[in-house]
Amino acid sequence: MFNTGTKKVIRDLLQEKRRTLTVLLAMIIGVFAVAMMSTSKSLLDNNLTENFLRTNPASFSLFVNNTDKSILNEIQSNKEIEQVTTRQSIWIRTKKNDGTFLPILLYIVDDVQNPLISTYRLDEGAFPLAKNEIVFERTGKKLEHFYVGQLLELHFPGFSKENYTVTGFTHDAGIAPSWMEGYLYGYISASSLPDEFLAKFPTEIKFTVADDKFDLRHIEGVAKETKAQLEQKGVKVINSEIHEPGVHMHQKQMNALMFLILNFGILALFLSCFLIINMISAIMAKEIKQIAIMKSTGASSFQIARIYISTILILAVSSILIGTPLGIMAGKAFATFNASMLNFELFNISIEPMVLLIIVLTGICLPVIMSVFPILKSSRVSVQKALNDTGVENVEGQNHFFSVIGRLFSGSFLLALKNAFRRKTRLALTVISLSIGGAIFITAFNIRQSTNSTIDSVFDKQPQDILFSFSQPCDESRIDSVLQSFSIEYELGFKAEGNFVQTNGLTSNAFTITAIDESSKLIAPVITQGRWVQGGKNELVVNQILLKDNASLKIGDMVNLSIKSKTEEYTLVGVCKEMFTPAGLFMGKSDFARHNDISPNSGNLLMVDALTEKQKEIAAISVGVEEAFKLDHINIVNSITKDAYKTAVVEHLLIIMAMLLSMTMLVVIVGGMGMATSININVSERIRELGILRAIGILKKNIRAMVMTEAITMAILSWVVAIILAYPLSYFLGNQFFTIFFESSMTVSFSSVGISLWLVLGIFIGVISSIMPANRVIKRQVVEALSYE
Amino acid sequence: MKYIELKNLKKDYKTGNNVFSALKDVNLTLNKGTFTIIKGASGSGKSTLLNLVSGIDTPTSGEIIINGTAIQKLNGEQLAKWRGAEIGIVFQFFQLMPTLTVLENVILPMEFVKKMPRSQHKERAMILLNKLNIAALANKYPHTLSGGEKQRVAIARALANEPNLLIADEPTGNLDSANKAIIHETFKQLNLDGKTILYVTHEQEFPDTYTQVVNIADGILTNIVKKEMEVQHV
Repeated sequence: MFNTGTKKVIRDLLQEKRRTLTVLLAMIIGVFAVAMMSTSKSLLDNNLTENFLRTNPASFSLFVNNTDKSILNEIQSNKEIEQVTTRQSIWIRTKKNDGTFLPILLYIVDDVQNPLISTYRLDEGAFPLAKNEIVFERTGKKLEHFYVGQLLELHFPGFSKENYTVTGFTHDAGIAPSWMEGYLYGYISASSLPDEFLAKFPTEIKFTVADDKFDLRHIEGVAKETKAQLEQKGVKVINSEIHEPGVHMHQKQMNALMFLILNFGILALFLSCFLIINMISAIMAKEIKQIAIMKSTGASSFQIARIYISTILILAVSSILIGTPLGIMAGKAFATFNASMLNFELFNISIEPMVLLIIVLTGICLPVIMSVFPILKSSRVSVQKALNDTGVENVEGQNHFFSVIGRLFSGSFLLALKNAFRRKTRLALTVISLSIGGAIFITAFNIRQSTNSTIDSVFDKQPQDILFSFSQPCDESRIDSVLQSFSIEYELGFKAEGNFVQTNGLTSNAFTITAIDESSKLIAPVITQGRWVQGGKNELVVNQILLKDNASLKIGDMVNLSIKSKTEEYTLVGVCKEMFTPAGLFMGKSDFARHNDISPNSGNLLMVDALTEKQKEIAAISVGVEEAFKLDHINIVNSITKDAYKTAVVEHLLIIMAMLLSMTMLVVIVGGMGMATSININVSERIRELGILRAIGILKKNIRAMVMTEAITMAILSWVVAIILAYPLSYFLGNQFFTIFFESSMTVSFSSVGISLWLVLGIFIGVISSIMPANRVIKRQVVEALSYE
Repeated sequence: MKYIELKNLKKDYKTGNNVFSALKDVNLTLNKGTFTIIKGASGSGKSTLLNLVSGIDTPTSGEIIINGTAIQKLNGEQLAKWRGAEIGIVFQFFQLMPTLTVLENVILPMEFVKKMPRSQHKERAMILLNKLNIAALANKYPHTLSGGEKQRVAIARALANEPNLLIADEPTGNLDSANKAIIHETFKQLNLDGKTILYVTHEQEFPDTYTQVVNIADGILTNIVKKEMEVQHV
């Protein structure tokens, strides 16, 4: 059935079990990495969009102060509109066991059981049927121990507080998980609250368009038309929001994750390729005599190469058969973990044919491409040279180097060094393989540390420790009197939502406005373009995220800023860099007060510097200030400490950190295996030479020490190269990742833990992996080792 | 009939700045069907001569014409083809493929050279094994054989593609007396069958059916002793 060449291939593979298994393992890891990465990427990509689209997201929203059902019905008859529904969003709070408050974004929907647009499904319990019943989004359970049947005291704006029963939990795939944002999502029916209370808050009318749902221009056109229609009927539209069609709010996180998955996947593949080259080169070196004999019997270089390429093909196919199911399983598990982190479900876990094609192509093509050079090189070897290969090689051209080293070290150490440098190509391949592994490992640690240190430095630069938001602007004098007993520093400012009014009559998506004293000591944004605002001149400074959303904006532009339906013209004078914040702008407090006809000596945002670094003290001050305001009937809608905010930012990055951790684990396995294999092959290749050393009287322990020294030399050499490689790699990957995620660059720092750990791991693996082959050599009789071929 | 012509053959090896002349201006003509023993001490240049004749090594200067082909002009691939069609080599250390059976070791060169249809390979291999009295070992692996048996398998492999020239490099150098005798007998028989044989040895004992003994020392052919004839000095 098989020709003799094929039989030789199969039997050689079976004969050299250890060697076969090692090469196979290197290939399996490559296939595994590709299968895992491509599976998880494909599943996450497809399912995130699928999950989001299943929520029937709104194409656009118009915000109005009052709605009339009959007008909405009329608008729904417009053939461009598919569905219309209304929703109100109110910030309420519930008291936690420790006395602090947990914010709740309360959605008041037309029909809580059957939302038309931005849908959710019941995950546990039941929908609220009676008054004073509420359901929460399921991810809120990670914030606090909530359960079905629990009675909660909910604090509504304007001091009303009522007891509500939790009837169940929903799954809302269209929103960010509660644990990530640091607040709960609650859902109740509009009928649960009195009309006069709801009338205080704007209503969001959500629309889906009938056709071209993914055409942003079409959606903009329909939104403009609908706004005009509403205004014709006397409904004042405060602002509008056009959602990027089909894009989930966590797409940015997903993109950052995908970027890292892809890049680390490519690096893992690259590492696997070097391992394959390294091992194939070693195998070919061992086969050289057999190649010579085959050539002496008339085999051409091509025929020889074909035999060894067949070997690689057999191994490649085997690695695909083993690595693919394992990689797909791991990819599914990784995707499931990430999906649960981002609160979406994997509806479709079938593997796309393209993923299988990528696995098979990379699994077969890469090993073959990587092995072509060493195979061709060996198959072209001259018969005479190969037949004269005694297994003991001369070292040339290193005399000067070793004569210098020789003066410093003892004979056996020098011999070990010489051995490490004996075969330069092999040494280079081994060091490169290990260095790539080390570079990935150190880079993963660096990105992790850089992320943490960037977050730390950003938060350390912010003097304010606690932010309080009031339901209404409050006078400075009143605040002063409440806070006079506290040893704190504070400033009063304004926080509101605003929009730019565009030339087409629609507004931009809402962004955050922070109005502060021009000479504020508690908020000092980093200006990257232009300058800071001067009070009384209607000037604005936008952050880089808002600038990206409104790409045509430039310094000196006049913009129409709308705050609570009132529009005024402002000059854009600067751009600042903010991190971990949404799109927003800064303006002078006096300008904001004038714009909104309120006193400049008031504010709805209180920034507090607790004058302590201790989180417990800051939390105590937060609770104390809250109580003091309560006693003075100042209504707080939200309060957050810097630490809690930082925690929320860190939680957003958990998924990335988990990914980096799994990457480092993979690299430890692959890199460790690479080093073990290289050393194993190096020693196996020199059994005869080591036999000679033993024949001339070198002790067993010296041989063992020599092999270990060789391994440690390689480990240290690759460690140095890894550090050098990790430097540009960390800068590139770190900055790209941060730009995708935060629209900002990262302060790259080097992780001494990662660097030291890789050195320790390298030496440990080197020592462990050299003991085995060294013992094998030692166990051989001298005569046996001398006759070894 | 001239079969091998070596004209002004030189082979130098460079080691560092030194040049070592392994063969110095060798001229030799061998006829078809002859059995030539090349004899010399270790380092005399006999193996170098054999490597040049078999195309394993290339000369520094001079010509090697075998059966009308100037082999020093052939490139690596052409040499491999030529070797497969024209010569068979027997090595001192047998050099059998350890993971192939005796039968498969003999078939392997046939598959490389493709001189005959694949369907005939097994039959041809069995004929050779029968001829060398090792047919019973056909399905055994090399490591189970004695030295003499291994060398007979190596001879069968060398004969696989019906070569005109059989080159043997110290074929009995690794064998005991009993096995040496068997191998000598085998070569005798092969020569009687019409094969041209080039047999390199440093030993005093070699097959007694030789045509001539070429003595070599320090890269120079010292004399050629033709059987039952006078010594011819070169």
